[in-house]
Amino acid sequence: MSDSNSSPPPGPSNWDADDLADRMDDVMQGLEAFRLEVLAKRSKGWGMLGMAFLCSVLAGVLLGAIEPPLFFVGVVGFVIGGVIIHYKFFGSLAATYRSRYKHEVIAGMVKAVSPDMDYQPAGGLAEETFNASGLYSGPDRYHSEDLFAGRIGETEIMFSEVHAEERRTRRDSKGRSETYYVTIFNGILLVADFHKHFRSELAVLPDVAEKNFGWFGRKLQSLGGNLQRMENPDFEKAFVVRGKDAVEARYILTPDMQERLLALRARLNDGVRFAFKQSNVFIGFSNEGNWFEGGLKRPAHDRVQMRAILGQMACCFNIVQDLNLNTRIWTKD
Amino acid sequence: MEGLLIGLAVIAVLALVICAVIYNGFVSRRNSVRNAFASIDVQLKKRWDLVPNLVETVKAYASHEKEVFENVIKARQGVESSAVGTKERFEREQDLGAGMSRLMMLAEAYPELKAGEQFLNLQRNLTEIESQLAASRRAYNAAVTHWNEGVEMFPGSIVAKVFGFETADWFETPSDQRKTQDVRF
Repeated sequence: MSDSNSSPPPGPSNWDADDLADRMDDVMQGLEAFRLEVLAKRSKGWGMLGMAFLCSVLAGVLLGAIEPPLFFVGVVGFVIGGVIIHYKFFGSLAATYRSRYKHEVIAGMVKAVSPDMDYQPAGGLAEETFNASGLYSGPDRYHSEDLFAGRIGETEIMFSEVHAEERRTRRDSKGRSETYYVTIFNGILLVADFHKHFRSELAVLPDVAEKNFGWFGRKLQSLGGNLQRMENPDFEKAFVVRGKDAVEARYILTPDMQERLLALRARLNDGVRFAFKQSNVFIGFSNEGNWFEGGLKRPAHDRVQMRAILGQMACCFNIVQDLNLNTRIWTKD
Repeated sequence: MEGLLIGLAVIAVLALVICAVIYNGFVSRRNSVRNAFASIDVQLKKRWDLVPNLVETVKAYASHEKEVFENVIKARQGVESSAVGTKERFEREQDLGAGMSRLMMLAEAYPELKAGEQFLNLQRNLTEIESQLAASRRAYNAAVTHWNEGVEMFPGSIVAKVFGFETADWFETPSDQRKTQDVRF
C-alpha cells in the first residue's frame, strides 16, 4: 500500500492533535531522530550511487571502451543493480520507520482517545470474517492490516483495512493467456455488536438497479428474491434491502435506523454496504489512499498528519454513535 | 379456418397461463398478509402475558394507584373476551398498550420501583415486545400495500374482480393515541 495519507471524510472529532502530540513528546522526539537518520542515509545512498555511476562511465571512457556494446550493457546493468540494492536497503529502513510510527504513535493515540481499544498494525480481519459478511464476492487474493478491536461504551467493535481481489484470465491477440487481479473491495470493513438480538440475515446494499433504471430497475430487483421494501422513500432510493424475515427486517431497520443509515451513507460514501448477521452489523466502505500511515516525508510530530489519522479513527469509532449502538434498552445486554 | 382456430386456441391458452400466474401472485401476497397478521398476534400475546407480572411489581410500590391497575386489568379482560383477528380485538389491544404505558410511567414517581431489578427486567421485555410489535405492524402494512397494488393495478385488477379480491385495510394508530401523553413527575 502507498505511503500517502488521505484526508478523512468529514466527521465529528473532539480529539485534540496538539494536546496528544504534547503528551507523546518523548516518543515523537525519538521517532523524529530516527526519521532524520533514515532520510540522511537515503540521501547519502543516492549520492554514493550517483558517484559510482559517474566513475564507472568515466573509467569506461578513459580505458578506451574498446567494445562499445559491452560497455553499454555494463552501465545499464550497473544502474539497475544499484537502484535495486538501494531500494532493498533504504526501502527496509523506510518500512521500519512506518512500522515504528504505527506501534509508537498510532497505538499511543488509540490508547489516549479510547483506552478500551486495542490496535494491532500487522493484524487484520480474517478472510473468513470478510466472507462471512456476505457483502462482497469471495476473493482470490486477500490482504488486511491495521486491526482495531475493543469496546466503545457497551459495544464491541473491530475493524481493519482490507484489500480483496479476484483473479481473472484474459487472452491476447496471439492466444497467450495472462492472469491479472481485479479489486473487489479496498477499504474499511467493520464488525460491531448490534444492540438487538436477531436470528435472520439482512443485507442493505447500494441500490444500483433503481438508481440507473428507475421503475424497471425496481422490477428487476424483485427477481432477486427476498426483497424488503421500506417505508422511507429516500432510504428506498439509496438502498436495496434483502432478507428472508419481513418482520425482523423491520425490527432491525426501524424508521430511526433507516435515517441513521442514510446519514452514515452521506458521511462515508454512496457505496457503503451493511449486513446484519448473528446479532452483529458488518459495514464495508471504500476509502481513498492508505489509512493509518505515517509517511517519511512529514515530521513524526506533524500535526496535519496526526489530525488526518485521528480523523480516520474518528470516522470508524463514531459509527457506534451514529447507529446508536450503545443504547441497550432491549433485552440484549 | 383451421389456422384461425389454432390462433384462437393459442391466445386462449396464453390468457389462461397469464391468469394463472397473476392468480398465484395474489395467493402469495395474501399469504404474506396473513403471515404478517399472525406475527402481530404473537407479539400481542407476549405483551398480554406480561401484564400480571407488571401489575404485581408496580402494585408492591404503588398500591394506592388503583385506577391505573383497574384500567389495565379491564383492558386485559377485554382482550381475552374478544375474538382473535377481529377489529374489536385490535382496539382492546390498543387500550391495553395505552394502559401499560401509563403503568410504566408511574415508575417515574417511585424511584425504588424504577431501580428495582424485577421492574427493569420487565421494562426491557416490554420495550422489546413493543419494538417487535411495531416491526410486525410495519411488515403487515407493507404486505397490505403489496396486496392492494395487485388489486388496483392493471392487469391484476381484472383478475381481482373475477375472483372477488378486495383491498385490505392498513393498521392505523387510533387518533387518541397519536396525541402526545402528558408526563407528570
